Amino acid sequence: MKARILERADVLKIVDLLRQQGYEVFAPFAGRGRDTWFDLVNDENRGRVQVHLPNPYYPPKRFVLPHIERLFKVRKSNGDIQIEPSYRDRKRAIFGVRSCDVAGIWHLDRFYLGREFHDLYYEKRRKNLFLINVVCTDPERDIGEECFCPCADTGPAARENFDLQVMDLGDEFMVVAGSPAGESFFADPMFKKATEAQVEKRRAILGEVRKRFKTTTSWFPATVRYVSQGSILDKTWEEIGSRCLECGGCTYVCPACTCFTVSDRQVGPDEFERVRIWDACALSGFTRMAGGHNPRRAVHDRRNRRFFRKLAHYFIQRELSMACVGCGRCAAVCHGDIGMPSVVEMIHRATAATDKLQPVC
Amino acid sequence: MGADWKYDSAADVMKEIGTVVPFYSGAKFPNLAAEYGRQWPCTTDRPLGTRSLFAEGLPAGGFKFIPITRDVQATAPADYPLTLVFGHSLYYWNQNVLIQHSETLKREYRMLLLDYPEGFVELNPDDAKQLGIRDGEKIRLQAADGSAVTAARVTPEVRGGTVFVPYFVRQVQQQIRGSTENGVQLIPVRVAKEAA
Repeated sequence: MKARILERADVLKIVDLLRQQGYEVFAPFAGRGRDTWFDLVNDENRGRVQVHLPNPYYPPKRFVLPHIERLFKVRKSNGDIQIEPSYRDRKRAIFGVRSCDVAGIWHLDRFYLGREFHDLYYEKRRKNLFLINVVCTDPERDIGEECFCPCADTGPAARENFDLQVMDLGDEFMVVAGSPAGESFFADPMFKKATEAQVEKRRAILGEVRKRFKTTTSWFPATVRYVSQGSILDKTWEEIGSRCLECGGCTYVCPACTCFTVSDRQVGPDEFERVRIWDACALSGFTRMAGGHNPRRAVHDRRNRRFFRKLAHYFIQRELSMACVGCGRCAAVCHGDIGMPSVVEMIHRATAATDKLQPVC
Repeated sequence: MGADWKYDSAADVMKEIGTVVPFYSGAKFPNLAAEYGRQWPCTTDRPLGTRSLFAEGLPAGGFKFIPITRDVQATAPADYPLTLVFGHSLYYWNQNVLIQHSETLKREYRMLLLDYPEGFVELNPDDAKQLGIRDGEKIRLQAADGSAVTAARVTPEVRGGTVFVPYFVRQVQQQIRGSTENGVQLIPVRVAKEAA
């Protein structure tokens, strides 16, 4: 991978370059308190784009899988039925995607495009998406109370699956190209060659940043094993389930959740649309079958499903990555404190005791 | 209403609230607008609000838990062994205006209507078993002042000994209570299977 150096004042020129090339550029903005969001950059708000800020709760997943998306429109006219599919294939760039969310999009790629069936709607958005990863280096502003990407091995600096990666070295920024499309930007004279000392500085900063995470969930490997082996007691799942308020919040902020549902609705006197919407396994309608039977009627059976999907070896093997990227959003929004770090802790605490190896005599 | 109030703005009102309620003494408008509000109590000593109460220790003497006596009938009348409770249901909010804008929530509430097209009352599985009532079966609720026929939704979400009526099932309410609202929230009832 090639690395270049950018003057401190020039970092947002990447945004300008992309806009000049016809990209619709989204970037993070900050409001009051902890409030942050991705928004379309225009001439008016360009100066307010933030590099260091808490990661928005509403994940950039929506740029490949919108929370609600029209698949097609059906129009009735003169006894005839017209079906008009709606694809979105404009060039889009996201500046300031955090490493955890880069891993989330990669997980979605594997799910939607990784096997025989390619999701056309997803594919069109993904092919036109340019990702500029920003490495979290500011322990106060970038790293939240709940962040645990080092445990999920996704950050603080993504290793792949981005087009450009921007990292603050203090006096200047280092930009790394992760794709040929990203590398083509280095033709611009504002990108200068990096020195050995600057590469070394990058390494030193990353080593230091890894120590600044506040949440540690070090039992991931053990928990993956317990979940995969099915050695977690029903009692533990029930305990987790009894703390779930069935709001679905964990799913709606998760950058790696893949589930959706499809619904038809009337939009005009003779017009209907079919939409795809994010769905959440916490909701009982998610697993209810057409005849009324619900195989996961109890809340804890649905919670069990969530963590099985995220941590079981079968899925990790199928998608080539864990469906938890360590962003900590679920921990921040959950009213029952059963975000991923807490659940890993609860499972480990309850299961380790039953998992003692027999000593050899 | 003829009161002699001389406030120029809502900020002035807040200032006065702060002088009367010590816990709000630091909650002036400029302070509240600086961030996303402040955490209560927000006093002049702690203008940034208080994240945890008693972080520096409990007040002298601490706190004591004292049982309170409630004015509830200890034993249900033999004829009406269950208690009918009226209340809100998870996916029914007022006129469901918000739900109309969310496809997912719409699905959740339609689900109940699909399963129980004529409405339902909720019954604990233990009570249902004892009465020989299965999920979805037609039942009759008999109270002292009225009776109603509806379907049973058997779910561990309700406590044993209670029958829960979601408030949107208005017919059941009227039949049991009569047309007048007399403020009684808990009504003793008897539940039995109703011939289909």
